[in-house]
Amino acid sequence: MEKTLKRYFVIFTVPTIIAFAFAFIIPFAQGLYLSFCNFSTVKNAKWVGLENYKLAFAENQGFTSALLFTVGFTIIAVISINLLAFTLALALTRKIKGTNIFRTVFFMPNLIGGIVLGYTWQQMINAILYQFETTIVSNAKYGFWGLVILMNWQMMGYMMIIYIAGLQNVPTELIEAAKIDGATSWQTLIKVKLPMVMSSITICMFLTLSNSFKLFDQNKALTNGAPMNKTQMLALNIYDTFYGKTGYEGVGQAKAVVFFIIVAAVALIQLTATRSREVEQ
Amino acid sequence: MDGAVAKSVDEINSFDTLKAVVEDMQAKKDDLGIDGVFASTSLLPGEDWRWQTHLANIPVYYELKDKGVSDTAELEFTYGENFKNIFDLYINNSTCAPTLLGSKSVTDSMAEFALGQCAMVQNGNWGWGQISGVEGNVVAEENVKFMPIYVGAPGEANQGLCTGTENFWCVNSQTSEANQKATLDFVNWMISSDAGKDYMVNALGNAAPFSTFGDDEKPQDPLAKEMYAYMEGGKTAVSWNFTIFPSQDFKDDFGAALLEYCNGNMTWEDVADTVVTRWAEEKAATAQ
Repeated sequence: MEKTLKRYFVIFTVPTIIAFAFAFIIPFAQGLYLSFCNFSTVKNAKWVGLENYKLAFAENQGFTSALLFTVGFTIIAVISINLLAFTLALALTRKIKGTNIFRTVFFMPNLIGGIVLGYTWQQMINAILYQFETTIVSNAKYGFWGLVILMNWQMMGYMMIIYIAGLQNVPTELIEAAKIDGATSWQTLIKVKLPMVMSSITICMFLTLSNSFKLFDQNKALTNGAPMNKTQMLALNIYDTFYGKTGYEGVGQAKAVVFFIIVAAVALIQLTATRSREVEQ
Repeated sequence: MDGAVAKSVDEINSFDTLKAVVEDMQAKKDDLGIDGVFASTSLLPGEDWRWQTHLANIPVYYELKDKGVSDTAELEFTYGENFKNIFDLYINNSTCAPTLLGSKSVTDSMAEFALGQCAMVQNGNWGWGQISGVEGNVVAEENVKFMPIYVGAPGEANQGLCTGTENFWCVNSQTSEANQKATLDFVNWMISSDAGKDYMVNALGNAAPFSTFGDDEKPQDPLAKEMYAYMEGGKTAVSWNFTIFPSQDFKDDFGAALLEYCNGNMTWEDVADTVVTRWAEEKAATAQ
């Protein structure tokens, strides 16, 4: 077995490694380099050291306020998406009639692109706010909660599928044993099912956390940061910096590097934290 | 109509007359069969360029003219009140409440005009396609006209239309010489060959400012004709100065401030302050 693996190692992995290098490692290294440069095209970059990083955190750059907004949004979104998705998964593993139809319906929003969703929800939310002579961009709170609702609607179904798979894998013997021992259904949920689906929780937490943190399309289409960039998330802030002002491409690049570090750190901490709670079946 | 403030559009040659006419029309909008005088002042994010670029050009034009310069690192926004004049007139005599403007796009306002729900809309000669293309358009070719944007500036009776360009054909200095030559060849073909000129004038409807275009090579849509009539009518055209606007960021922030003003979250003083501060900051930031 090991011998065969070794023999075919080159055939199976080298194409992937090459693709990975071209599509990820090389652009990443170049991006890192460009964040220390002043440039308008990738070929005319001039080294400026840490200047871009200094500018990135200047007050009128809105990077820190975008970070705060992103963190606030991520906390609310991660909690609400996972709670709702798990509740749905519990409800739809009870063998009630039409389960498959419901599963499909809840999963469907996930198939629609973020920009389309953003504009659709903008229209829907505005249609409601019209009754009160106002719009989603009149108050940052509307934009915030609009985004939370949108993301819940979109991601809930996907997370639900993962939780369903997890719940279906809980051995029936364990549940039966708990029942015989006289555990209530709440106790069964907390003490038996939850530890058994911990690996699903790890995946779902990771997906919702990183997707919420990196959110761009929905943010751009729904409010585009209005009013006054108060609903601007990190990715949109980087985009606006890059394209908003000639000569600031490097600053946008520097922000992107900082962004990468934050996302990587948050994801790693979360992964280790939830992994440690996983149990072997 | 009986009791109208002005008998003909020709009588409107100042902001005061315009305001009187507009407010009178707005009061009688039901009799006139319109929802409001002005099409909605689109302030949906990304749809605010008619205000933060084109309308903003007028106070900048007058300020630069007073100072006798073509660019400035520090805009004082001396004609800010004039901008407020016309902007208030737009938002308060419109098809919808000012607080709803954050949901309106340019397409919305052009459609309102095409469907006869409003009497006026601020836009350029490229607007005809947007009007005639709307399904159910009720505006006939001979009924669409231009009027200068009066803001209450001195000597505005002689003010013409805003005309100019903000886009330029550029040759990329970073590319190879063969590419640079090819670009120039293409541009020359575009403006001097019959096929190229036909594209420019008839397919794209461009009013081409090149000497290679003869008098019979002008777009024939109603707004282009109006524009040429104004240009040859002896009034002083307002030049487009937004090529000197510091950055897209400046324009976006100006537009965002206007939206906050319409929503009642910002006073006019704050808006004017934003314009002055952001102009100076962005001019400094983009100075190379």
